Amino acid sequence: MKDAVQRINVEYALNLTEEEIEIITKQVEAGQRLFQKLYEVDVEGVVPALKIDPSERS
Amino acid sequence: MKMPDLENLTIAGVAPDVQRQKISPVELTRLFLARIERLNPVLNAYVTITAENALAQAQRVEDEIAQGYYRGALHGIPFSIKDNIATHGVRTTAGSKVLENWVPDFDATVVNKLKEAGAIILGKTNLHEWALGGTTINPFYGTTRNPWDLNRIAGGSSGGSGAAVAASLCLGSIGTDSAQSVRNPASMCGIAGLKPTYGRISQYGTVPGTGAYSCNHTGILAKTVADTAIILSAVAGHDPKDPLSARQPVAKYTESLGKNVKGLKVGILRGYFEEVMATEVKQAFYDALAVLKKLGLETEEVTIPHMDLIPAVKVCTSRVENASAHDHNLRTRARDYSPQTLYAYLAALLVPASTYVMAQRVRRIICDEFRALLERVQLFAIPTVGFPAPTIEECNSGWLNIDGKKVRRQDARSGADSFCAIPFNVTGLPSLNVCCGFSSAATPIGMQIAAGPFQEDLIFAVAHAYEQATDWHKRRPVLELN
Repeated sequence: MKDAVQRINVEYALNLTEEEIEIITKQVEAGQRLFQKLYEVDVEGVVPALKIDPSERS
Repeated sequence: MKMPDLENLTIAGVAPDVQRQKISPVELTRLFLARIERLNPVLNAYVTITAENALAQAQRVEDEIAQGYYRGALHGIPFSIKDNIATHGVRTTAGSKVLENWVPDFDATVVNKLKEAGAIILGKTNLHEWALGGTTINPFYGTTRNPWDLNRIAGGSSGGSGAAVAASLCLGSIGTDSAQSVRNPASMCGIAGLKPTYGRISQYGTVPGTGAYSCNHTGILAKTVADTAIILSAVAGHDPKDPLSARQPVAKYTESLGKNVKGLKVGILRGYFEEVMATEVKQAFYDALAVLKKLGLETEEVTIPHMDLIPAVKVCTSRVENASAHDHNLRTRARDYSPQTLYAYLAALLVPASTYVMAQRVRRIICDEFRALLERVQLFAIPTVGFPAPTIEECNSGWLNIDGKKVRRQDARSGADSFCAIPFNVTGLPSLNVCCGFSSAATPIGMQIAAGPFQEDLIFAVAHAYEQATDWHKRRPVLELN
């Protein structure tokens, strides 16, 4: 995951310090652990909660 | 002309006197501006005070009323606006360094509606940087202090709005709420705070990246439930400029005040949020439930199968959507963000698209589960925040003391102060904070009353009945300044 943070660092020209890269990496990993639980849900046939009211479209 | 007692003034109370010209909007505005000048240096509720504009606006509305053109209960009423909501010709910072000099050339729809109703805008209120947090400890514009205890936070992200209303530096304020941001400061400052149904109030003019798309709401802070109902009546409604705004007709919300609430069923929500709930908050909440029962409401404990996934859904959707809105600034002005905010957005850039979609699918399941509950109960009740306002020092240390136990203020699930509030952001259901007691440190404790989509009128009926049966909302902070 640290590699991915380093890629962002280069792509966004952030000049992050090594310490900052560590902090962000830990946050990404904590997020991954949190979001992993979402994959344990049976979402077969469930449509995402994204809706655009057809009447809003011109 | 009468000289109003600002501390005990409410919109419902003063409006008839403004209409009958017993109270002058110009004089009222002057009194509020003088109070702001005296108290704001300590509270830091306002980041921009628009005294000249406010007085000119007050003169205009006073002339209108004198000519017999009275627009309604907000005519001549002094307001504040959270500083992530665009105001024409007035700096709008979003609590950020990036926008420190941004002066919009348009009004947000909610501001426009307030102006059309004759309200007077006194200024812009402080918030957590980019509305991303619940403390209003802002590295660029300073910390907003709680009027009940200056060593404590006022909550957030609409902390400036909460402090301004509680300290009588305005009669109403407009905030935004993507995780707790209206109800949390309302709870910590002892006032009413409404996050209406998703789409009920237009978000056009809310600064992008201060709440994202799926879970953000424009909301209202005021001293009482009745005042909140008056304001919602004026600012709700469909807005062609906001594709997320709802087309449902706007009810006459003040007509719900005083309605019989006997026999209504209230679901007491149980779930993950109880792990960070202080004993004195639980006690105040149970006492409030006893009042609701005396009013004739029935209660039962309820939960949903996927309650524990609400924080993951909320964090995933909001962080990713916010990061998308910040992409350009992250590439060009990254060091104009505080380190904590910068790291959060950079981490969000690395959430896979498939995870975001999965979160939105689970969100659908959670919404369906709440819909099923609403076939058994008409309302929900739950504390607003699991603990009373912490000290600024505690927040800076990152640790809270809850019943003698050290608890992290923030973990991957976001701030512990948001845990009770986010079920209603994820589902978009309306939820209102009312003050339901005070802590051993003499700071307010709040309770949320929530209902089904677009049933704000039901919430107002119950919350108003609760206020009439108690006197917590009548207490005012004592601001003794040297």
